[in-house]
Amino acid sequence: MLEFRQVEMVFRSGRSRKKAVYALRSVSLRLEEQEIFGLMGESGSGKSTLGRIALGLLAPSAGEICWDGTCWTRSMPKKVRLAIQGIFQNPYGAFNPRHKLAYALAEPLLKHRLVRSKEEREAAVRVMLRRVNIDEGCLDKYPSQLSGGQVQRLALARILLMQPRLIVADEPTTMLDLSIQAQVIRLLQTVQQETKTALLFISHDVPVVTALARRAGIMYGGRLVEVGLVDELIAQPRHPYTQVFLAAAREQTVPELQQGEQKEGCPYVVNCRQAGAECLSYAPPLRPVSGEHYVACYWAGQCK
Amino acid sequence: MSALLQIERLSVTYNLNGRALPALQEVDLCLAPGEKLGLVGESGAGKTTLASAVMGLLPRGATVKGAILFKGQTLSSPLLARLRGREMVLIPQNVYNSLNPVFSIGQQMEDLLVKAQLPRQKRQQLILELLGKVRLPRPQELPGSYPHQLSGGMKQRILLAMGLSRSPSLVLADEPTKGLDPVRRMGILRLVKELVSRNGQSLILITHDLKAAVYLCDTVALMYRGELVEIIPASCLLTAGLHPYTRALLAAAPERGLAIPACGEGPPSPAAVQGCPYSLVCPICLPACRKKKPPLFSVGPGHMVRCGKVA
Amino acid sequence: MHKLTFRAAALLLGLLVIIALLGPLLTPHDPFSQNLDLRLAPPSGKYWLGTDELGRCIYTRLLLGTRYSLLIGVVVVTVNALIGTLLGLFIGYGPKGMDSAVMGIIDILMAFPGMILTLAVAGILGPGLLNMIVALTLLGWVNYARFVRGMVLSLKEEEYVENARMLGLGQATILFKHILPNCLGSLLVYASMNMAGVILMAAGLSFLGLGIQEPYPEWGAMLNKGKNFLRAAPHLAIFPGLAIMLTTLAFNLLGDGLRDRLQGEGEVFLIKSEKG
Repeated sequence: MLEFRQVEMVFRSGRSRKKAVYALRSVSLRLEEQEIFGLMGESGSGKSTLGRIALGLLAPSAGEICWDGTCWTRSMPKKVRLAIQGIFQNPYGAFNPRHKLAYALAEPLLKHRLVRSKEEREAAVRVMLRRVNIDEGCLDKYPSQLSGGQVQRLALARILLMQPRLIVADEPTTMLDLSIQAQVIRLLQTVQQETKTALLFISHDVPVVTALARRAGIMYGGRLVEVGLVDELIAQPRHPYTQVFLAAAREQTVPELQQGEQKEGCPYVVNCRQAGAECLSYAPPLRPVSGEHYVACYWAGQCK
Repeated sequence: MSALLQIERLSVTYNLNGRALPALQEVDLCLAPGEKLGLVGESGAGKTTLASAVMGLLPRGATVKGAILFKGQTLSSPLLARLRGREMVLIPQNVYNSLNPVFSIGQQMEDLLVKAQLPRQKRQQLILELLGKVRLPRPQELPGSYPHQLSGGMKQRILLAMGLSRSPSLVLADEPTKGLDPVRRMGILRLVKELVSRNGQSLILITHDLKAAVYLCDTVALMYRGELVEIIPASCLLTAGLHPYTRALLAAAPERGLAIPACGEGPPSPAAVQGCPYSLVCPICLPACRKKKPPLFSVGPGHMVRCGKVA
Repeated sequence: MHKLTFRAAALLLGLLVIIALLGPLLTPHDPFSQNLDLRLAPPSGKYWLGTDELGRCIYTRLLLGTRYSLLIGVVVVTVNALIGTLLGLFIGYGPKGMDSAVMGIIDILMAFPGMILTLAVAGILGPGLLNMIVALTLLGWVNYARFVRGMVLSLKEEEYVENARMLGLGQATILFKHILPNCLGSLLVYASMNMAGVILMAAGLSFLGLGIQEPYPEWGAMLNKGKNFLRAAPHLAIFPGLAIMLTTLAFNLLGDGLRDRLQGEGEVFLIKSEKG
């Protein structure tokens, strides 16, 4: 359905734009219809950048994004824009603090003429509120008058009204309390089952991704280093970074990672114990190890 | 053994535009020297208020009742001014605003050490030593750099180094792992554990990360809407938590099935509840719980629960 | 304390507006009728604030003067704010090339000493109400444009603006429905402060004979006349001076009060979002 083809993203800054930060490097990934894909990685690994590119909020420096056979680099076709919607880390950020929620929820419906009449619009909003389990009285309030969990559910309600075919959820629960987190994730789960929307779930919370996703990918240093079915990935991580990442999530002692300034080659090379000469000069591409399991390491599977 | 920190019937009430907002209610806590206590609860549970009360950093409008004793002495503002930064330190949650952007790291760290009356040479040596201790890469380059040149993780470690520079006997860490990815989270947890246990310092870890509290602490205190609901040895928390709220939090973890806990939403109601604060949403609430707040029952060694049903 | 000054300012301004609207009903005298027998009379039961050098009632003339000052203030500030805000919105949100070009022009305009330019324009156009308004709007919008542009630049990075883009809302909707409402508060504060400045400036121009002139009772013009009789009849200068001072003070306090109030709102919002 959605496909990234060798997507690159370079942020330039500083005098005469000389300082370049490579946020994404040659990322290729295909999301299947109706699937929940978990994207994990440390902060700065490029996972949010990929999400923002999927949403059309950022244009990649190179590569293509394809949706049902239509491909683009710079500007996302309007039709696709409505089909891909997202929720983000800070629930309050989703809403303009000066708008009441009734308006905030109805605005996209109005602007895109997705409903024919006022009655239809109000009915749609009401149905959606029931679905995300929010009291109708909230419509008359400002976002700041509600709790973070409520606002996050309303943000979800607003994008669901657009009937998206893919939802990008960029760390939607990191800022929420444990109990609220469970609510939001459960809701995402049910909504996904009911509407059959695909979900790109970006998070560094391994247990959450495990509970939610079918497939998952791990990013490091702007590259996708491993992709596979979640269960396989957890049981048999192949990439040395994935191994460290998953071990840390289980409170096991892991080595501290150095920040590498790697232009070419594997991004993990400074921390890797098995790195050889080829790792320094050429970044390993994603290669299949078994079935749906891909890993970007020359040595994966050969060592302990 | 005498307690390092003793909190007796501490109540804090904020004043918000003339409305009284109870934040802490009759909290009793005792911290032995070298003990590591995890203070766990959700937003609005009062854990940050408790830390601020200990540090004497409550906002002006707050009313405080009860007593806080540090090494047997009641904390008063002149005493606090002497203790803060020396005997007890707070590692703040917001790493981004906690370093002054116009001074270099070296200058800011030196300012802390000036009062220790060390010669300049010695001070700089100490700074490098501290930066090395928190395992920052290339520590010799850091004193000359400014906060904006550093990543959030580095700033956090620098704040940790600054906090520990005067070897305090009590360290309060406010959500040190919030929003960190697993590798960085583990790095910080390990670092804090090592540093604190090496010097036998006491630690109060404020967090809502249950597993971090279990990893780092000896005892975990769970708070709900300004009250302590359970105090439990950390090693028992994941298996033997008794209070319905504790159990609800545990069951909400993704590994345990993401059960949606009954917690009540939104800010706590300012109207003081007569009975148990959890009785409004408690699945196993007894009629008596609504009328009278149950006391903290002792249910095992180092394990206390404020619940009329399970005790 | 803050609330009190804000209320005092609001009260005073309300009073001024009522005076401006109902002026003639509040006095038994005519602002233009001369009474040469009663020249330079001190305040009395009949003439509350005394009479001027032509025997006209100063109280009545001050009442009428309120109209001029407020009219000029409101018109000039509205025109400046409208032009400046629209321009600021477009250059802040539009393509970068346009932004640099317009900002270049604005920087050049700002480099002129505004007071002198206004004086020169007023001098060239000649005295009169309309000419004064033109002179005051010629450069007045520049600050608004800069101010709004700055706000737009930061607001367009806000997450809710990004969300609006994600929802596929049009540029105009984003600009006028999402960005503009969040500028309005600060704009209001700025405008009320600016109002004080404009009224003072207008009085200054009239004082110098470049604005509204005799026989019309503009406060600045009255002050100018009064300065000639400072020894013999100080009330000629004191009362218009007081009127100018009180009006500008009221607008400044209003601005301060509005700012405090808006910041208060912002704080409430912040506290809430941290709780999330």
